[in-house]
Amino acid sequence: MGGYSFVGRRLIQAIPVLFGITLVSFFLIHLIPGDPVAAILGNHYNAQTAAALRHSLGLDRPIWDQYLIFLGHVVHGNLGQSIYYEQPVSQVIGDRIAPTAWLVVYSSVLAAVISFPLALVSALRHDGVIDQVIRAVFVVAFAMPAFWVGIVLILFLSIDVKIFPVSGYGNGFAGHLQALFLPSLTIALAFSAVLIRSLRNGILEVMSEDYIRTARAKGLGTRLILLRHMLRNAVPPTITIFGVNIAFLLGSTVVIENVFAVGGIGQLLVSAILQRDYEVVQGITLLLAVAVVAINLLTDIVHVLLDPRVSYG
Amino acid sequence: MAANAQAAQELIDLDAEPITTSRHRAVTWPLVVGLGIFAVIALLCIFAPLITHYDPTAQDLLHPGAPPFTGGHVLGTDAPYGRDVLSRLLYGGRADLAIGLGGTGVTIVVGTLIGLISGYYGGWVDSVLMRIADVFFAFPFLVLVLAIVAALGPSLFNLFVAIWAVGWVSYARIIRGQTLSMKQRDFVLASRCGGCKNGRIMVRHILPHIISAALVFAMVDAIGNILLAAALGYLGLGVQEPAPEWGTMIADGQQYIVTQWWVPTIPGIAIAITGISFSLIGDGLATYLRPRG
Repeated sequence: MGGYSFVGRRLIQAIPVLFGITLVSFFLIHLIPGDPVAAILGNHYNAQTAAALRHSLGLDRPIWDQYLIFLGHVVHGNLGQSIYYEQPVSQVIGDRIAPTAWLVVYSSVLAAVISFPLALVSALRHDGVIDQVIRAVFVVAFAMPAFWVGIVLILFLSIDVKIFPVSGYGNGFAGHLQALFLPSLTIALAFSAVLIRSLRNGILEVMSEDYIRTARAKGLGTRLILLRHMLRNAVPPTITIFGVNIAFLLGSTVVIENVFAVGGIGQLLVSAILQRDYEVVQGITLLLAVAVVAINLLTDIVHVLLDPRVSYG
Repeated sequence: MAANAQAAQELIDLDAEPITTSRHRAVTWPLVVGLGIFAVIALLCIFAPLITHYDPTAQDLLHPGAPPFTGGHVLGTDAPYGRDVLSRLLYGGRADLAIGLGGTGVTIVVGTLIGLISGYYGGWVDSVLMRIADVFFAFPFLVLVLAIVAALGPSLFNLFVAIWAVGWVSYARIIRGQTLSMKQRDFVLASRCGGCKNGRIMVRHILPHIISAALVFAMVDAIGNILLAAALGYLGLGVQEPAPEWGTMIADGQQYIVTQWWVPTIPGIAIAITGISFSLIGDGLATYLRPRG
């Protein structure tokens, strides 16, 4: 038995969850009270066009038939047709996925840069003044609405000082880095507030392990213990903590994209809700949930590969 | 025999009392300060009509964007409508506090019951409930709430419905885990031998020992729900204009932030202070409920 069988078992465990995700995404949108066709047609509603549209959308079939057709399409990468953009949903999403992917990666990196060193200092000086200050700061940060922090950052760094653009995605690698800095920082601050407590506890746990005591007992210096023994062992739990909270990160991204008009799928989701473009809402909901499952799977696998002590259970 | 059974029952019930009740409970400063801040905010919002005589939706188009402490407006007025910011803040807080308390209150009860049943009965009941929980947990909370609101239409009530539909999952997971470790304990086995019904064992014997984890989490969850209500209000998918709500106030004020900075800043501070009070209460509760020996 080894890592491969663990990976295989985790993949199999993910299947019922993925199946459930398609059920929830589909039935949420298809159990709307009222007639979606009426909502789509609005002022252009008449019996004939309504019947034609209902037929072309497959809405005249029984709901379970509709679900099975939807499932068949999803497996083939077909997420339906956007009413508003008059394009396939997969294309509408595909056109806007780059800014969102950028934001997620960028803010993850920033969150790691912010939270890991602070959690480390907090853990090394636990219950000291620095630890309490760091914890207090992040209690406050956790309670602040991220979108409001974003607006305040815009005021100070985009309008007053004009270092960063107010909105947009930028051009080229350097352009993206600059344009997406403020939204990524906003998300990273909120994410750090969620991460730091678990990170601090994770590092404290590593610090109380026997091998650290052994290292101390044999006379190694604090710096050497820190670099050679602790940090390496703190990486796997950090990755797991990241994976557990990935859903929070994606949720924050949806809101913050709207503050900075980044033009990603978070902004698309909100405008699709307002435009009653239900197939797009369904597609994005499905995609984000699948992304959460995939990232969780990945972090679990990486954890096992990095830490041979973890049982393949 | 009946008397014996009664006596046995009493013994078992005594054993099932929360470990902490017989000892001193530690009331620490975070609990007192947190409750104090929260009480002040709640009272201000509840008694808003006594504190400000301005209608939160009344427009004064002659005096938009008045700075704080001018023209009888303690926190100024917003632009471009000239509505009193203090009134909007106090009346608007009612919606956010209602979501914080009402959203969280219902989900803790539902989630706790589901977690108890799942952990206590085990087997296929547990498998089914936990697979459902896994599925809900895969969606980013905000995205699932957005999708539900998209289906039902944006309103404060539908926001409640969305939170109720999704929020139970965390509590169910916490309580299930704790129930699993509790149900093997001697006093639970004893009460089962003593002839207690399953419902009684779950509620009277297991629940008192494990509810503290859910209560402490509820404080974090309440912050999350208030932030969620504000985020949806900000996106135009929560409380609908012209009704006031802290998130919609921030959205309204955003474009005037350069000239009327206080309009979007003040509701953000209100949310943060409310959240900090919940954090303090949660910290204090954790100490208060911790078994000491």
